[in-house]
Amino acid sequence: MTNELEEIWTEKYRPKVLEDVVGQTEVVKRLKAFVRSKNLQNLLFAGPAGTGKTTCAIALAHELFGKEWRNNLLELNASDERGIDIIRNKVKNFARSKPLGDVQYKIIYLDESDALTREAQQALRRTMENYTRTCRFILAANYSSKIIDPIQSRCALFRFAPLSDKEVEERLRYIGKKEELHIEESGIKAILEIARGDLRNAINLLQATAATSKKIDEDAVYKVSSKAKPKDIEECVKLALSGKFDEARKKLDSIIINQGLAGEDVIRQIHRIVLGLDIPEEKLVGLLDKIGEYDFRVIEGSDDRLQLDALLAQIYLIGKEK
Amino acid sequence: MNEFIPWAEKYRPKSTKEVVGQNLAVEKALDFVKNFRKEKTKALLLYGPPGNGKTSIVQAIANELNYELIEMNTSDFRTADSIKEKIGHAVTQQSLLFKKGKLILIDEIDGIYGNADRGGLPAIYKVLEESNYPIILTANDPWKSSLKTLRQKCALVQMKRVDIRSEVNKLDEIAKKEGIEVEEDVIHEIARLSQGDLRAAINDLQTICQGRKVVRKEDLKEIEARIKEVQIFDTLLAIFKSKDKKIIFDAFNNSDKSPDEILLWLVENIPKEYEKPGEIAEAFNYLSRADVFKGRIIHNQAWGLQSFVNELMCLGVAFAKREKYHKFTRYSPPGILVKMGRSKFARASRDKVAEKIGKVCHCSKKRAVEQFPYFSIILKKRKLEIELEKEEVEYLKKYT
Repeated sequence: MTNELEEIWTEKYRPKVLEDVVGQTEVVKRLKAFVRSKNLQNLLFAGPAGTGKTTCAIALAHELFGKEWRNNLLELNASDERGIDIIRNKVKNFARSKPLGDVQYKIIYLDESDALTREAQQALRRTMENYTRTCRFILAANYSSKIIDPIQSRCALFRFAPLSDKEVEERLRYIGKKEELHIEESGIKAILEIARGDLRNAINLLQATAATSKKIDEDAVYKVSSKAKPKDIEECVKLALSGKFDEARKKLDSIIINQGLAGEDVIRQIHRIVLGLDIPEEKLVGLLDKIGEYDFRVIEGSDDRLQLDALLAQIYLIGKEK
Repeated sequence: MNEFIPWAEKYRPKSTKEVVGQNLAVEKALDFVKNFRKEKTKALLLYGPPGNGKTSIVQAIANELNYELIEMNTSDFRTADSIKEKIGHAVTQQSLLFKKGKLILIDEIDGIYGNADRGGLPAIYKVLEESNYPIILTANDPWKSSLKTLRQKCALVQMKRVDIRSEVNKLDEIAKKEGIEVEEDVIHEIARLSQGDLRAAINDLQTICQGRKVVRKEDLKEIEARIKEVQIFDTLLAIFKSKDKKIIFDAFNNSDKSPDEILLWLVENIPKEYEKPGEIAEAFNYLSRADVFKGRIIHNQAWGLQSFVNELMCLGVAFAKREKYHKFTRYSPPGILVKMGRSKFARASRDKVAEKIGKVCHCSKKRAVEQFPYFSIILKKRKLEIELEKEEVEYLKKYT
């Protein structure tokens, strides 16, 4: 155990300039055009987690504002703020003072905008209009379809593709070199397999593996990932499948409460776990059908815990079927 | 024939001394109105079951102190505008009548249901802030989550059910004033049936006295046993043991619990009642569908869907059973609430840590939580450059 303070690698190696952003060539090209003209419209970044949306926003701010970037960029997260009113107030306070430097506007980056209800998005749209002279909004979302049309039509849309294995690998090797890690081919493969194009995940997994083992190979990576994998959820699924519905629900309750996972996260993990199970074909297909259905219901409905209970009941039923 | 005046109105207390069985509440309310000063708490919230004298206290106080009483109830709450129109001016202007002061009564505030009354609650907050006069609100159930902010703005005074002794005395007094001879047993029975709802008791008394000079025990069967609020266990029994729509809806609609609470109770007890996996899965499936409709109500203000939520919930669960189980089930209260309380600490530290990591890593708390396992593993071996308290580091270490 060393006493030195270690920086979080996702931050240490977060690109400062657009040029260094991993992948997203098209996006970067268009963003650079904004930098050249010093002009910016409202933007909508759409794409899965860990593909560079926030990084691009920060890099863009770096390039537009230079060392004043922190003062001219307000980072907000829709899933953290307790309502549109709080967001509006923060925007108001931020927009009150003039931008520092030779740019005419400040940037407000609103991450996970798709967490806002339609109603809140309507309010956000009015806020965007109120500050057109002094602020530019960059909204980030996993799915552009969850953003209401009036906002979409006011933004330039940027689609962030999932990163390819090659792009993730390059970045991991770059970090490996800087940190003087001993990474084996099998280790890289394992990380790619687990991270599935989510660079944040890949880098965190790399750092965690490096903390536990000198040699980063398949073995070390899987050891960390299996330790990191929420075993509780796996157990929960297995309990339900083996007919222990009550125990499965109790497990689920404690997962929701103690780990504070949202319904969508739990379902995503159940999905992953079920795909890895050794069960008869028709049962697997039946399970996937139900998981997909409840993934949808969690989004449409109002009570995550109820939806997850109902999904567990379906898993329990499929487990009982001959 | 004489015009029909409900006795419950006719014998409403004219002064606070006539208010039955609520000495403590009377004292507090009177004190609040008499010593009202603008800068202190502006509003008092009287709460308790129906018919126990909440409104009467307020009216009696206004009468006694010769204040102008401005009343407002559920039907006025629909929109912010209607509230402003009704009391917006009244709370700042002086009384136009020749009265000593003004008292504002906002009755049955829990009748404001969710967002249905758009802007209703905020408009009320505004009234509370601006008012130059004392405001008393009443509610049956002040613990609805939608009333949280309101609760913080008011002093709360609880009013219990009226005790049976006081009810008997009042009923006796009314009978005497009406010149009707009512047997003591009858009065006692009426009071008992009312379960502390004095207004209901007086209504029953009036019904039974209609066209009589003397009321005897055998006349009692004429008044229907009052349908009191159905206790949650009976609601559950109806849904779990019956397939009769009427029985089920009656038990649901008259329940002392809100649909949301009933849902939680059902979720908790389905696996206790039903034994076949198919039944359990189907019952949960319909609860899940009901919740999807609830989501649509919330997201799209599709209020019309509420009845489907209720119906899917009741009938979906009831019809999921092949046959009723002839067994005694000990139904238990929703567990999640209990556990939520216990795990409050865990959730608080989780949120704190997630916030700190989110800030450093430019991500939401939710995403930060997803990455906890990795940080946990790293922290067991290394020190990380995040400003975490010692116990927060411990929390993370224990995460895996």
